[in-house]
Amino acid sequence: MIMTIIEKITYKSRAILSIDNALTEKSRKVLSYFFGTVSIFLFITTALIELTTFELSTGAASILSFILSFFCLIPGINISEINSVQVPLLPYTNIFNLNLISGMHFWNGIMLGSLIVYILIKLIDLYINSLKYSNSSKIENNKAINVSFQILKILSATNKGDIIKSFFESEYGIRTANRLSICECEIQEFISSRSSVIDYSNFVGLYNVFTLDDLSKILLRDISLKGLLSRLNISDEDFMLSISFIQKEIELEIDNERYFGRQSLSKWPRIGERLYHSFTHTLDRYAPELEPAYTITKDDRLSVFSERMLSSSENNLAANFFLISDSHDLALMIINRFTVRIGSSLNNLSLRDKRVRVFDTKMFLNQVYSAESFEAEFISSLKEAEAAKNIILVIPASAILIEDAKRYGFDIFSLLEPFLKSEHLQLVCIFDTQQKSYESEQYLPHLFNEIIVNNEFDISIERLLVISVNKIEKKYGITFTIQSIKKVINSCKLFDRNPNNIDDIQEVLLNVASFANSNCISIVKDQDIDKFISLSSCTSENKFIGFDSSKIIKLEQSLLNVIVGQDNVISKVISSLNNVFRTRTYSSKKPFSLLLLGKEYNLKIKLIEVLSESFFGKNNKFLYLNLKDFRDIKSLSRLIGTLGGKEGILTEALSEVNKGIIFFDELHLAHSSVQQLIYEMSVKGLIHGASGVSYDCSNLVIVCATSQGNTESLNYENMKEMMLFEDKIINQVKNNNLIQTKLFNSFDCITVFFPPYGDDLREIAKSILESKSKALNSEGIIFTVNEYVVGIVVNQYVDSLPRITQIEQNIEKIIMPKIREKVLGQQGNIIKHIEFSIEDFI
Amino acid sequence: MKVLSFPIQYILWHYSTALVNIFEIARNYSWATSRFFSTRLLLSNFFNPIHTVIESDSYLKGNFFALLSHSLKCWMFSFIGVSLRLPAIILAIFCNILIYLLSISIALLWLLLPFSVIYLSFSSITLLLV
Repeated sequence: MIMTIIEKITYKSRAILSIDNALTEKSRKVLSYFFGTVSIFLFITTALIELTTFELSTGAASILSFILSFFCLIPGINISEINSVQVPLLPYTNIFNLNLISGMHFWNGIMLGSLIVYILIKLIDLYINSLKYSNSSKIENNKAINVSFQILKILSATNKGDIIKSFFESEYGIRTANRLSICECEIQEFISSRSSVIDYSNFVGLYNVFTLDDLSKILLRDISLKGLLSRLNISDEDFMLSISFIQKEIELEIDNERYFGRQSLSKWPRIGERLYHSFTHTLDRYAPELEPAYTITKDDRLSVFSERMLSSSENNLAANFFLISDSHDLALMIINRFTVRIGSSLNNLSLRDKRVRVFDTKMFLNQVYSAESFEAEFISSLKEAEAAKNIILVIPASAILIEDAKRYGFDIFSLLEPFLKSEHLQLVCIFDTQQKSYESEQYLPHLFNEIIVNNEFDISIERLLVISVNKIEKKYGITFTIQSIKKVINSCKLFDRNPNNIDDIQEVLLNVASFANSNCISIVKDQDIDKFISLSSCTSENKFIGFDSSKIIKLEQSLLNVIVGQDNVISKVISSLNNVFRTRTYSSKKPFSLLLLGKEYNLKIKLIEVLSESFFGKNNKFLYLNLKDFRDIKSLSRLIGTLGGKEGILTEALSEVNKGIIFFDELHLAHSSVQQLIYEMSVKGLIHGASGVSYDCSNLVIVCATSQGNTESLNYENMKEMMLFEDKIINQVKNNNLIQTKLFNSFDCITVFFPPYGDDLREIAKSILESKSKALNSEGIIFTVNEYVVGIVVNQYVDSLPRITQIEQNIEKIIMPKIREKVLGQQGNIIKHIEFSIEDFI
Repeated sequence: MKVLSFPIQYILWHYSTALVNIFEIARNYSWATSRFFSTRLLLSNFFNPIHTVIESDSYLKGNFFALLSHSLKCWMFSFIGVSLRLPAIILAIFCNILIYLLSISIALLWLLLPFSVIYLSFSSITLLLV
């Protein structure tokens, strides 16, 4: 009751602030400094007089006693009374017997007066500041929100009369102007030419003044500022946006600099940390332990979710969560907060012993080759997590895991189901709202104990945006204007990126930053973004006509259909293609280049055929050059021609078409000058013919192949070895030094073809036999491909592993003569049906 | 009138909001101090061993000496934990007491401040007139 009355009174009397206005900050300062200094000066001089007049052993004692005597001199108080009281306390009692400054009453009065003025001014100052603070907290409806000192600074400076002037003089205004790429001289000119004066207290209630939006609105009421903005082509919205951007930037800086901030606290050694001897072996590889993240700035919105997770975990130690969020990063932030809260949980002590581990889905998928390995690794990881009994396993990017599992023919949740029911393991599956794979499977969320949907990330995303922009700016030494940031977000769709996902925005921003860096642009404006877009779009058009991410998915499918048993090659090619599309948006000159290792010639050719068809259409053929014919010194002239003589093979082909695939086989046999030529082609995207004409190679796809590297020695039984084998082969070829190192490093993708094995081999043999059967069908012979034929072709009954060429040889040497034999044996029949049985080959 | 109402407003503020604010500030300092020494964390796991050693059940089961050595290890680590945490907690409590004593004395001074201003102004006037 009393408080509400007080509040009402303070509200009504807010015009009291006019005192604040009447007595400007400067004059208040002068007054307080003047009176303060005068009083202190008088104190010291009188003390000095006393010291010089009377010999005292210590100065400090004299000052103390002097202060006491000074107050004793005030009329109405008898010095002797005080003296009698003070005698036992002070050793220099004799001082009080002398009436030291009895003749200085007037100066004493002035001294006291100045002291009073000083105290009064300070008190009023405190009162006014307190009013400001209390009002600002009322506006925000949340007392926990910190008052922005920046805004207070600007507002207290308005005593000069002009809020715009003080805004642009403050650090806040200067940074806003920078963000809008307004140069300093223009601001100076604008301030000096201003005639009108805006005082916020004249037309804005105190209650409306403290929010940031209101401040920018007040500033925008000024016609001359509007004129300046329109002259510089800056919209009001951009101006307001930049102010809020700076506000967040400053908040972040304060967070980072605060001595008791989370970032600083995280550096302190945490006493009471517990150490566990981990039983988990596989988990360490895929799911390293998540440290409680004190570095994450406190966000109430995130805390709500982590608190929910905590409370349900406290009730049920095996609670599983299905977390749907707008961004993967933010979901992890929730998990981070959850980790912190677990550590301090008082209600459930066994929860405190739990450890959060984040499953590295991408790493896991990279290391998994086949369906068997997928199942084995995934289940063993989960089993180990369960065995530890104290693990909360977080599976981020669950959508990707589901898709990959589907590719291998698994339903991930049928694998997860026993673990979801387990009492010793808590599972948290994170889903991105952008990847809506969970929507197609309605039953999914019901397997979990709690579903947490986080869709209030608008503000947080802004905060994240500020963080990522600041990071990129620091890295490249550039500044993004607010308009350019807006344009980047709007143009995300052009690059096939999601404008609501911070990771995607960051990726585009990084590309723009590297573009700006290479073009020596220090302040990135929206025109630069236009330039960047036009450059990147034109290159992608030139290089691969109408080629987008959907086509890459199609390409992957057709590669999987055609090339059997080389999933590692396909995934590497596809991922590097994706990478090229994402990163090489503006450096138009470098073509896509590929190095294929291994001895599977047929498979390499098949890969190139599929690539050529998808990139350049069905009718386009690729140029094949076997470099074993180009080992001598004259080979370069055969490729690029001679001055005044014949044109080279390569230059002739390039003068006719500038799009397509060039396949250089047996790269290690090529002469160093030829390798240099290929290097120039793949890096600069340009070669010069002997006649001086330059040929554009930027729209080519360069594929090189070498049969180096001992791929035969692979042990298929050992999955671990298989994972490392690719790297081993690549290093082997690199260390052979038959291919120039710079050329080797310039390839976008290097991959190894392994000899097919087991079922893969049978499938290849089957497909070759089926094509033969089709050919025979046209002659009127029906040839049924059965397992006996396939078994004979792949040397099933022989120990050594055949190569694909051997399979073809087997078909020609064993199967075809047999077919002819049978056909001849059944003369007279119009339709010849041939089906072999095991007896035919015994 | 507005100017006249100012002293009343001020006095109301001085003896209500401002006094509360002083204790809020003190509480803030105390929060920062307890945060600095991680008092809550230290109290919550006061008797915990400094490093928890977990041995598998199968290893400890039936093996008396393993169990004995394990429990000894735990005791030793607990003792180290307590001896490390205790000084920090005592220091934190001491700092908190200091903060509250200071804030109480400041609050007392704050209560006397308007009276001292009045008293000093009277005495200055009399000094000037003498």
